[in-house]
Amino acid sequence: MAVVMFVGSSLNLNANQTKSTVAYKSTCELYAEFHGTLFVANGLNYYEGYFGAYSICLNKLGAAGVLDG
Amino acid sequence: MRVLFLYLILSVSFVCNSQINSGIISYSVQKKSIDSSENQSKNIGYKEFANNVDKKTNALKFKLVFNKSYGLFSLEDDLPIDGEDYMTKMAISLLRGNNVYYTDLINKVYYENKEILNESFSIKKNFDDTKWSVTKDSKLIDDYLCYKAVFNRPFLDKKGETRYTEIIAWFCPTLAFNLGPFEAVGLPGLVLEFHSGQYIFFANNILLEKESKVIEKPKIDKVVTQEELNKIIKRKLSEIKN
Repeated sequence: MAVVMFVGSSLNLNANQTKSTVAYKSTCELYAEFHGTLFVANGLNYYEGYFGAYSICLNKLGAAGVLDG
Repeated sequence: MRVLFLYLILSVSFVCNSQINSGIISYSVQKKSIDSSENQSKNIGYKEFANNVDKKTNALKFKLVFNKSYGLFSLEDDLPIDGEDYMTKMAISLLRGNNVYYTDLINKVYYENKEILNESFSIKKNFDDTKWSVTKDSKLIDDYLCYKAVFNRPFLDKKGETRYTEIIAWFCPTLAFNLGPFEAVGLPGLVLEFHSGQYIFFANNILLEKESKVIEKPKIDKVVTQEELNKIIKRKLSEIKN
């Protein structure tokens, strides 16, 4: 449920994170699912949408240092 | 009858096109007003995500630069957008703005350059791979007479099964360059309006020049067919899931 609440706003990552890396990765997977679905709604390959969002999300987490440890 | 129709189109284009050697077309994006049924049954999180992505698509613009031999279609540089904004990145991804489309008119092929999980691919396609059906439907776009062409584009759904969606290209025979946005190439005239999924890409600025322009060839990385890429993608997905 916490993951769903996360949707719609940007990934607001900062030094005082309380979410675990696992939770953030789950969020990335959820975004990836949504983006894949959006791709299908536009007649595009699901998997390309999935990977597109997954990469964007992981890069964001990486830039925020979430994936460092 | 269809052959005669195409012959007439090509004849008109040859006469009108002899003075133009290069050009730049800018394309804006507009969402179609009718929402597809795909969106009706999804959960609130998905709808909110889709709406937030959609809000960012309006600001995106694309450009096609071309000469008599080559064309390059991509997202415009220097757009007034926050490139680091999360939903903007999603919108660019959805509208395939991360991809670069390079068309070689001499060899009648185009390359769709894209990156998947930090790996670059160039999907090579022949003009003949896209079986456009040219219709007699016509309309004026910016005072250019354009004809409608349709193609059932295949795509893979979540289950990996092939489905089809109709894409529409409005091409202008008086601008006899077989170019347009994305995969809308190989038609007997420049494509000034392109319908793909829920979005319409329409030419909002047309600059035609007598002087030829050098089209910089993008880096062509690992060249694959769409079928080969689909296999690679499925393999990568199973790696992520496991």
